[in-house]
Amino acid sequence: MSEEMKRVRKSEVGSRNELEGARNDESSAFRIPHSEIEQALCSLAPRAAQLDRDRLMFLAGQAAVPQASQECELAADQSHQVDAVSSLGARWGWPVAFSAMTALAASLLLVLLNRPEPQVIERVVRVPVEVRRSVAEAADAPEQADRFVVDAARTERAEYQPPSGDSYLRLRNRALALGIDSWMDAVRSPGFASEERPASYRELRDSLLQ
Amino acid sequence: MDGIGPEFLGRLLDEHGDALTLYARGWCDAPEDVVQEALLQLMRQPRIPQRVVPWLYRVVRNGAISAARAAGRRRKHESLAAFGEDVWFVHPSGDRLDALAATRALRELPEVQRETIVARLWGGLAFEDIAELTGTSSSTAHRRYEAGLAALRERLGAECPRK
Repeated sequence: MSEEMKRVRKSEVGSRNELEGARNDESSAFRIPHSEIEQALCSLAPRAAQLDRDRLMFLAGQAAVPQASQECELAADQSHQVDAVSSLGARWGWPVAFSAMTALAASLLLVLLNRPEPQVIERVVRVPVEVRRSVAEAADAPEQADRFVVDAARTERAEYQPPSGDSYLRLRNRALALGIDSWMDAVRSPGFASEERPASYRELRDSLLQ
Repeated sequence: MDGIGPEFLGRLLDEHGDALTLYARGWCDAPEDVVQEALLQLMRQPRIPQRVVPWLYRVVRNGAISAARAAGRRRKHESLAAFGEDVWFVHPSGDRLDALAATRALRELPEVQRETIVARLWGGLAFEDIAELTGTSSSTAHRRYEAGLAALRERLGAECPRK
């Protein structure tokens, strides 16, 4: 406060000195004609300002408070700035990760939905069939060789047919008559499957009616 | 602390309040409001201006001109007499210059001359400060001051006492 008063006094003294100095320095040509009017005007005091001193002081205090509060807020902001920076990661980390993962999942879903259908490629695969005739015979009669191949295929197909109902009945009768051991011998016999031929409906019916 | 204290403000108000009010009267009807606002603006400054009094005159000048512009339309519909026959000065002894005559003579001066004379005689500002305040040179401010004094002497010649 003393510094303020010193500054005020210095300013006032400076102002007075400036005024007096200016008056002294001015040339007499200007000073002499107007000295009387200057003195006369200076003798007049400005009318007192109708300022409410108490109200002015109150308002001045109010005006000074925001300045102090701003300084306090600034200091508080600086002190909390470090905490804010450290908590920034914790505050935004999870939301950012969640957003990134959501975006990734959505993009993968779009890729999955827009995936092109697999192309169906048809290829003709030629499987060589075992030729039972000798190569020499096939070379002698190429027409017969082709025919032999077809016959062999038909024979193989017939061999893979499942056991018919007739064989089942025969097996059952045999098992009932001779026991279970005879059934196993019949199955192990080499001509069991190959001797069978497909049973028709009529044969099955006749076997059941017997 | 670089802010303004209440003692400093009270001292400013005591020593420069009346002159600042007189300075603001040249433009507006409510000079006290302008001066009060200037002092409050000084309080809001984080640091004291280097030269407080010229700073205050500048703020008062700007505030008074703004107030005059704001009241300009209203004033157009009012009579000049209503604007004010109030006396700007007081003289305790009353035997020298008539305060009312001085007020009239000063009010009739051109604005730049009146402003210069008030700032110089009652505000105590140097011509350099006045030049900076009015945006002119020191010589121009001095010339305006002399011209204004000459006009006042001519108008107040009868009232001006002879020594």
